[in-house]
Amino acid sequence: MEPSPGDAAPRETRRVVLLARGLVLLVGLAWMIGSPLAKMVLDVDSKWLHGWHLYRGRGAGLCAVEYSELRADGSRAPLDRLQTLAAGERPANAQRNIRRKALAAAHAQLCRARPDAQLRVRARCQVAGRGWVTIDDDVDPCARGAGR
Amino acid sequence: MRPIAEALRRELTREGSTRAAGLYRVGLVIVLWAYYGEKLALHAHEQEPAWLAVSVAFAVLTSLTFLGLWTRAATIGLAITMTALHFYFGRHLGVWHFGKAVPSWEGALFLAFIPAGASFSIDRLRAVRRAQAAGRAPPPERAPLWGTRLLALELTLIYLWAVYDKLEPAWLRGDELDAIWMLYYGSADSLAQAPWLHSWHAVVAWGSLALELALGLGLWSRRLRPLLVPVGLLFHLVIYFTLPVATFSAMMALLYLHIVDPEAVHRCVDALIGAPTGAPRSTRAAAQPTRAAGSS
Repeated sequence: MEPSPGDAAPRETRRVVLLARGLVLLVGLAWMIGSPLAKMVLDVDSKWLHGWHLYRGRGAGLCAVEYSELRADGSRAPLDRLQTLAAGERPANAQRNIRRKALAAAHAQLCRARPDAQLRVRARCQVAGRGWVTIDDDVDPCARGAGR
Repeated sequence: MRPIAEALRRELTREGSTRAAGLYRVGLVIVLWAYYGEKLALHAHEQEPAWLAVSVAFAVLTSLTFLGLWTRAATIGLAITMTALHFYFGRHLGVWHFGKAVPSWEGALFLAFIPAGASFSIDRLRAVRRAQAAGRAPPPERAPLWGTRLLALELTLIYLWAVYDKLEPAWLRGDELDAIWMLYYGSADSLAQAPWLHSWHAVVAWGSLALELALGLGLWSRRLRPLLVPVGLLFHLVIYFTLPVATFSAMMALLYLHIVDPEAVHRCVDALIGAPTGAPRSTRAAAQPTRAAGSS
């Protein structure tokens, strides 16, 4: 069947519509790929771009501690920090978690609670992108410089 | 080039049931209200003109979109409002709450490109009533679905970028999950008291990486989809109840509406509220519903 002269205009309109749809898809796809690509792969520092960090980086700055007590016979016993602090003079001051900035203060708090004990600590803190970084490797938490 | 051009043309002219788009529209507005509602209440910004304008626009446009009244105009307006919220208020002015909500911003932006008002809307109800008054059959719940690809791509690209982000030793060793556990459930002493937690977190870290990779790629596979959709939804449900992720899980669940076959969503709604009468069961999906009230 021969196309009628009136068919040209709708066909052209349809072509423009399809082109517009294609363009929107392309721009949308380019944004969803390009923005994280620039931010996460190429390290472009721009507030207009976004990256995806699902469930990551939430614990940055937190520290994991392991206190122990040296006994007179040379043996070593694990020390429950929260239990020790709870039995002390100011149990309300015992923090469940310890931030990097407060690590030295946490050491000092335990030292005050057990002034006569020989204590040792292993402490690691989370650094964004690096994971656990050792801060204190089996040192006396009551010594100057511990937790720094 | 010809097969590619043909496939592209097919994609851009693809038509299907609009029920998934209608469900998405309603669900998205609920997510937007949950996430932005309180921050955009009129009392929240002491009547500053820009905030007042965006608050009023948000309230009016989300309400119209939710109802499906003048849906095309409302969704375009909502896309513009959400873009302003994201870039101007969020990124430029630094209101973190708005700037970080990328999935819901993109979800609202792409809503403007899908036939969101053709099902479960007042627009649909009016169209059906007009057709009845004119003695015609109700318009079918079918429309071009090319825009829904944007939402399906958003879903799977989020997973793939998340995989890329997790390809770091700190995640793969389980270090970051250690800290997440300590932050929300344990204490600074958790790893000293239960050293096995670290090994378990390494397993979970690799498992989440594998799952997100499977979802990012496998959801496009017709064969794997029936398995991966429930797994993905369960994954987000678990995350929602274990970590403070606000509306992210709900938003991701909504995006799943666009990765599944729209005709399957249509049939599912039929199964829930009753299929249209007057057509043999096997032809109902193709024929589309004729019952006005049930699908409006």
